[in-house]
Amino acid sequence: MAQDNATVKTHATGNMLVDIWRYRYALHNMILKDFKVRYRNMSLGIAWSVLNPLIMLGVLVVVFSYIHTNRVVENFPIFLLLGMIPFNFYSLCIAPTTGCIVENTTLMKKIIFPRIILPVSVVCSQTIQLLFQLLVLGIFLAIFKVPLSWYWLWLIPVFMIELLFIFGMGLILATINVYFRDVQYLVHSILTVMFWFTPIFYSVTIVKKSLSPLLYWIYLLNPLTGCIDTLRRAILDHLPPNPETIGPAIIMAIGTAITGALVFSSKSRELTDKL
Amino acid sequence: MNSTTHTEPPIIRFRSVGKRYILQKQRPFLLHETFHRLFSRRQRRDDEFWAVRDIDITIARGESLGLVGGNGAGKSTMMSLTAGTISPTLGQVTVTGRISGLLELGAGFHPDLTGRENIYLNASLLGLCREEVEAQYKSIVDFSELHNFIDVPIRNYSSGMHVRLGFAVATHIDPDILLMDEVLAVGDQNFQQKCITRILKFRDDGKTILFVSHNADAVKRLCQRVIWLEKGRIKMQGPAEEVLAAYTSGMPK
Repeated sequence: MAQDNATVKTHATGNMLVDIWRYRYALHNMILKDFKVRYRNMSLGIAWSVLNPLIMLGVLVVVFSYIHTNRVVENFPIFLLLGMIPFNFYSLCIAPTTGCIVENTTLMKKIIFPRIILPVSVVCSQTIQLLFQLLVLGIFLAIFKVPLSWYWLWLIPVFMIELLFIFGMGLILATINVYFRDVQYLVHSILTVMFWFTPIFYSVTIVKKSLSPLLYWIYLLNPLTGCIDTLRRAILDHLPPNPETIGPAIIMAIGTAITGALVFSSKSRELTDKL
Repeated sequence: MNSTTHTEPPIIRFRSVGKRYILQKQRPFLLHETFHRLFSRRQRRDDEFWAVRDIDITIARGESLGLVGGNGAGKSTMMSLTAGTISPTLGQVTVTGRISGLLELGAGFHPDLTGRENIYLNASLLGLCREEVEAQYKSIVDFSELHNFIDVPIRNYSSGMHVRLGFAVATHIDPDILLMDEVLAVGDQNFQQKCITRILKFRDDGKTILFVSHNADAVKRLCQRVIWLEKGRIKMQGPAEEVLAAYTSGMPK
């Protein structure tokens, strides 16, 4: 069947970054909407943004400081948080991004705007939530008297890498989900599996010791591994990143982001037909 | 630019456009079925449905065109194709100009947000920047006459209020092309009159209008030219009077 529709003009230019910039005010309002809808009709409102991570991370700290203490790893509760926060961020972004196209069927069908705004707005509002989690992390770092260091600044590139990975995965999953709605459910199972194959409760050193070199390399293909390892080295040990872990993470993150952008932009035209 | 051309190029052009939908009786619920379909040479036959077919039209700048036809004739598909929310299966749709990107009044309004918040969200999704929305805000509220309800969540609005706000936003984004699909169906007499006046003003300002309605009188008032669609094809087109006369004569009184 001849496909000759290249000249249909929409409000999207085809270049994602240009589209995002041109529709930045729409993006701003979408993020605002997300927060308002989430916290409206709640007496504590936006305070939940701090309370939620405080409870979620606080319980870990309490349990692993008083009930299940670990003398091998120094500052084990903090060690745990540095694994939990990047993973939480990942799962809190991926689940809603996967559904963002399908859930916004009306917008997709009835309004012309660059479709990329939808997944990007989800990731942006979760990034703001991440800042609250980091604030809570800061509180616990102070309580545990972890000494400050310039190495802490590695936190910024680490989350950039993770964002790239999230962005790519989110776009891929959001697109596939339009064709197979099962993906929405599959994602939850995959996230559970991933939780245990990510160094959250254990360190990368242990992984290296226990797995064969090949399996270890496969393990490193999960960019969260490199991100978490780098965070722990920077914040707890005051060490620069280990190229062995961060290297594969960077490559995988960039690769995923490019794949995601290509998949999404090549399919975004026909998505509406499948909704 | 080009002094040799006497007529301006059309603002909207459909060239032998067809839009096909595959009517899947059931979604592929197993992956293996999809693989089977991808790799087996015998294509399993799904029912095809051509929402519109063999459409050739040009619409000049400043023209107001009405689309009439029964349910499922392809009117809304024509609107979506013009807007670009869907792409044609066959042929080409060319649009040169800023289109009002709203195919349904109030689409994208979030029930939990207030009228004010929805105006900002909707207008910005339609491509307006902060300054433009702020400049238009007062005029949007004035037009919708919802001053007392503007800080109330939309879910408490009546359907009429919802459409009023939708119409107000849609007509305040200064498009070259205005798409209006059944906008007069809701809303009281007063507001309908106000809408018609506003659409007429658009027409007088030299904007292009694509108007879908079952209300033949409204089409007659607003459009010079009318296209009558039936089963996705153009059954008749021409001056509004003629086409509407033929269209309404076939209807039971």
